[in-house]
Amino acid sequence: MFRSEKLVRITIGVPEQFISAATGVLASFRLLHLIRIDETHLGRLGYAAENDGPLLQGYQDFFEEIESLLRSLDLRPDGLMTEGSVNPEKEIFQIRERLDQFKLEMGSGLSDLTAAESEFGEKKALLERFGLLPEDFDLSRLSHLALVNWVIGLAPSSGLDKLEESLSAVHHALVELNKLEDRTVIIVFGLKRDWPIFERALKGALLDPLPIPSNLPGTVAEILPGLQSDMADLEGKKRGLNAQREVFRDRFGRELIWLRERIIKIRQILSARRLFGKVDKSYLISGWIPERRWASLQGELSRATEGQAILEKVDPEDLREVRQGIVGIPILFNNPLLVSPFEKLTSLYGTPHYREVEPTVFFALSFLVLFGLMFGDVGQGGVLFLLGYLVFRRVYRFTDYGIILMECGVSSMVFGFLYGTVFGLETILPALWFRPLEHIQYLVKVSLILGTALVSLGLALNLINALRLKEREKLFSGSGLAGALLYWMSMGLALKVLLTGKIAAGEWKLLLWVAAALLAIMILHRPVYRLAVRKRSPGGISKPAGLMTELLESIVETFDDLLRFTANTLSFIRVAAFALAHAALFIAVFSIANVVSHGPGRGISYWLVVALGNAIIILLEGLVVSIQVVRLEYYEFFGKFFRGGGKRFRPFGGDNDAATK
Amino acid sequence: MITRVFRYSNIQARTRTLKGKLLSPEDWHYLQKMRGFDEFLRYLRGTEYAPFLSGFSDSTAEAGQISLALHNALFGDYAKLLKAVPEKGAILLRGLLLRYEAENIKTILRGIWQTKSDTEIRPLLYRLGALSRLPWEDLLNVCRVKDLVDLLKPTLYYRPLMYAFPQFEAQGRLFPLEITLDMVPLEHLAASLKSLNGLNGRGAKALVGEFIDGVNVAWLVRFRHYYGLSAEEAINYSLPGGLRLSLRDLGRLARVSGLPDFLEELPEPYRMSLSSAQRWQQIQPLFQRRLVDELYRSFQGDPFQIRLPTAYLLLREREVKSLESLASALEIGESPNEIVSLIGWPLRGNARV
Repeated sequence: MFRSEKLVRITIGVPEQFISAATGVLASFRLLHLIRIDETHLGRLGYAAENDGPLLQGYQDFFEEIESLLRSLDLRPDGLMTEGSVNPEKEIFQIRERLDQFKLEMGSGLSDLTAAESEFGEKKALLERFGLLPEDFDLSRLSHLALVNWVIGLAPSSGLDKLEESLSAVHHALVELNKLEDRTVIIVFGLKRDWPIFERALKGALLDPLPIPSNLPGTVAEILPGLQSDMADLEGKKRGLNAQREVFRDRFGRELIWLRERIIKIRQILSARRLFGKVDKSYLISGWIPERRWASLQGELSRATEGQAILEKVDPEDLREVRQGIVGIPILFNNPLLVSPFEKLTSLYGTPHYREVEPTVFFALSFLVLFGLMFGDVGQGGVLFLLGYLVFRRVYRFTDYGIILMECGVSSMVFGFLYGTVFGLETILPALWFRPLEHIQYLVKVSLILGTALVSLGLALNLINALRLKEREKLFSGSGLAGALLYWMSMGLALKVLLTGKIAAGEWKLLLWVAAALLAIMILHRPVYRLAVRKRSPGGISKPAGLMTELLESIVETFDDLLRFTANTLSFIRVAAFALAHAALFIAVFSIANVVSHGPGRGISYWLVVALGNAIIILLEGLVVSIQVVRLEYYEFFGKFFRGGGKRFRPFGGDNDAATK
Repeated sequence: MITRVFRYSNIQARTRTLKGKLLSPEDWHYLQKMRGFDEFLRYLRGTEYAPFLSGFSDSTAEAGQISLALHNALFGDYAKLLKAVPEKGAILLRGLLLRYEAENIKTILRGIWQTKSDTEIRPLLYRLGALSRLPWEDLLNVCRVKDLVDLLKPTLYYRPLMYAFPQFEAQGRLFPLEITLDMVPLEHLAASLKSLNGLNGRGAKALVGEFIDGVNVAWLVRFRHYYGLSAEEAINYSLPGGLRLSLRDLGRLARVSGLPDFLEELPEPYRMSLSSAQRWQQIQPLFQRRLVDELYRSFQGDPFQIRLPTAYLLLREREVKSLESLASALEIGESPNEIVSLIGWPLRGNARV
């Protein structure tokens, strides 16, 4: 959980006749990160396999044909699973026959429907284009101009002054007709004899011309009803054809989706072959798999290839390329179900290095605690939970975010109980811990203690990372063990002062002496280390700077690191500030409700204001608090230890598969 | 003022330390005298660039690879300064860095256009590492230009690229997308200055303004006199935010055909700095040398402002680009002395002045 899944590098040798079966097994296995054979010594020796280009293209053509049929039938592929062995060389003929049969049975019905839809689409686009023009704009008057040319189009608004300047040497008129986001609909007039200049200028201004027929009589306001009536006629025609589409959809839809999924799988397998190696009549496949799945993969491959596949497993530590840092090991996150959605947020910051601590668990836990502290309310937490549940159930693409929202809801509810607040009402529940507005100082102390804990955790993880990555020299730096010791000691004493209000003279003296010693280590370690390396192996240090320069650099860095510790810890005061803002917003909402209804709890207007206020708090403050939590996590926590620079595990056969792209 | 001093005291110390690591006049003196590419590489191995050149052997190294490796030094400095600089200032530095992100996107676009595989394109990219959050692996794996643009949807590149797309389709060449990618970061850079105010803002505006003037002049010369584009088209590819060159000035400069007229149209002090130009090719390096002088001058005034790290990063960039030019010249057997006039670094006689 605290480190990514342990991976091993495997190499599989498969006789040519079993390659389809073996690739099928690997695609279904979904836990193999393929390595391009040309990135290994075999690839460099020229043992790279080649794609069967025409076969892959054949499947691509059928895929596009099926996509077009599915679009015509208005069917959305729903990820139907296809099981069974795959034989790309044979199956292409079966797919071709089935598709020919479908087209024969559908006859002209589908093409009529497609034609009607296309005509409808064109009219709709024309209608939209006319919608961009002023209503009194009469295009027919422009069709008879003898000496003047014109063009209507969309140009980026920020470039209009440049367009004006580029046309300043010739007679021209540039009229702005409308705005569309950050583009402007313009009409440009110019003399026909100067038109080549206009074409060059408009090309430079990235004008996107709007194809509008000028032969339609009347103003835009007069043309629009005619176009709308044409569209209504087409709509009627489409309705008739739609009934036929329903019949086709029932008869062929499911099989078409199945064929589409089948082609995707076959394409994955064919595309993957370009990553394989080939020696005589055997394919070589190389990649990373989780060590714990090694035995099961062995068994499955052995069954699929009648025992003729040869598998070899190598521990990453035994690979010279890995030791030298030439080849990176991908990261396969290995977190429990409730934590794994947070991997997305970790990845937004960066992908951890294989050997460093995988911080998602710490991220998830601290995220939820910080969120709850700032947004504690039983009622609002419940609403967040329900919203998250809706996202989780309804929006497949954002399932992970749905889970995060549900967890934030639960955290908010827990802190709501601790604060004793339900939709801002503090009279319903007793506070199991304290009420933020009544104990402001205490809340600030809690935030600072939490900040100290999180910064300390970051420092501890940094030490673990330094040891794992063998960066021993960094242990003596301001961001390493020396800095951490100084921070912990200072924070310990600060905590004592915070809780007891006093500090013994001996403790103060000890702190000063230890701080001086640690500072000396932090400042001197780098020049000393570089001097030692230089003595041991001259040239081991690039361009040795003078001792004073290195010392100066070291002093600046040390003080920067120490200042950062303080700033990072103080930054957590925002947790208290936002928790107070959350409570204060409720006061504002209830005050407005009182004013509107002339007294607390009176009438529907009172509760309407309270409901509306709660909705605004959930939306606005929820968003702001989330941003603040992410900010604290990224800058104050991750910034302490996260190295990054790793690469994500991309399972062959999965959604994020590199082979098919 | 006091808050500014507190905010920028650390960064100014860091910047000055980094500036101390720039190549010295002595280094430039010897670099001008190199007799071959291997000598050049050997010399750089004795400088601050050594860690970035450790993987290259003298016999197999190519100027292109060396250039990318030298840029890693620049990106290292960006990473160091971005960590320390206050957020508002960081927006400006990130704006400068976006140019390299855009360059990488352009390289991928060209690769797609020439149907190159990702393994062929990958070594040509600037190694931005954690400095860029773009999904590079996904971008490298797309096969169509449209798919690449779609992948950029959440970024500031998407809309401008979409607006350029009809012209790309109409012209059947990458130029509209490439020029868009060139312009987006610089327009963003000009816009990012709005977040800075007071002395901090004025200093940065003057510096970035002069930098943008330089880009506008270089682009005008390139588009009009190397690529043969019309004045009308070239004007549309100019950038906002210049210090001394207004859109009207750029219009006039685009329309003149001869070099003397071009120099005549330039406002002072640019006219004076560029007056020694005899060929169009000298305009850009002369302007860059002027900029380098300005960048050095930034270190003489009030140091507690974003102007200082910005100036340093631009200085380091110019140094890397000048080394890149030297490397390319040496690779094809040219003597550095012959191309000194085309290098955008103030080399005079035997040392930088």
